[in-house]
Amino acid sequence: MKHLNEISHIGYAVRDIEKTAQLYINGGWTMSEVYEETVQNTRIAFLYKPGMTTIELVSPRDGESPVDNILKNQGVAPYHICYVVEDIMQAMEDLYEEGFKPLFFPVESIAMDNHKICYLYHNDIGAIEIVEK
Amino acid sequence: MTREEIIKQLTPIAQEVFQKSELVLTDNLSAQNVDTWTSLAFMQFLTAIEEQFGFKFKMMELLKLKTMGDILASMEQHLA
Repeated sequence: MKHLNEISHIGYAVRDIEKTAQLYINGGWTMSEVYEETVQNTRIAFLYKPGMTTIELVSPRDGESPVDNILKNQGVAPYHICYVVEDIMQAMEDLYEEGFKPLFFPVESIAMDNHKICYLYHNDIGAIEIVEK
Repeated sequence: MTREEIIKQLTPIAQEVFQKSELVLTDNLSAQNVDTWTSLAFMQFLTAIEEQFGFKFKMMELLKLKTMGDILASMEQHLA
């Protein structure tokens, strides 16, 4: 867990980004543009407020997306914490030794300024995302 | 351990993780044809395999596993 020292954001699975975002905007948060992400076939937007951890809203695009399963099983809910890492391959290898399993090879994400991301799963922690600096 | 022995022990694990009590393990099973084969369920399945069979997949090997046939072939090598 030595790589997990800086949180990038908390990811929420939502059905309707604009609908959920409006509630936050009413509370003084600002919203990024909405990204059409092909990695997991999702729509993504970020919510910001000074002094607060960034929130990522993720909704499924048309067609199949892993977010569909989260919404089906849990409803609208937070489902991952994303951590910033220096070297994504080194972090993956070290986290793997600690029981995390990567869901796919690191890929560039347009929602993260084309920085490389990867999701990992641990039976006793759940899902995390890592993003390379 | 033979492929038949692996399948015999692996079947109840797969049935529980994928919540399919009648699931029959064939090489072509994958996320494409098992609706409960989500990415997280797949990771839970691989973790259960490691715990039950007492070996650990290598990370690069794990990233290439896509079907039940891939898993069985890998298990045969680990358990030979």
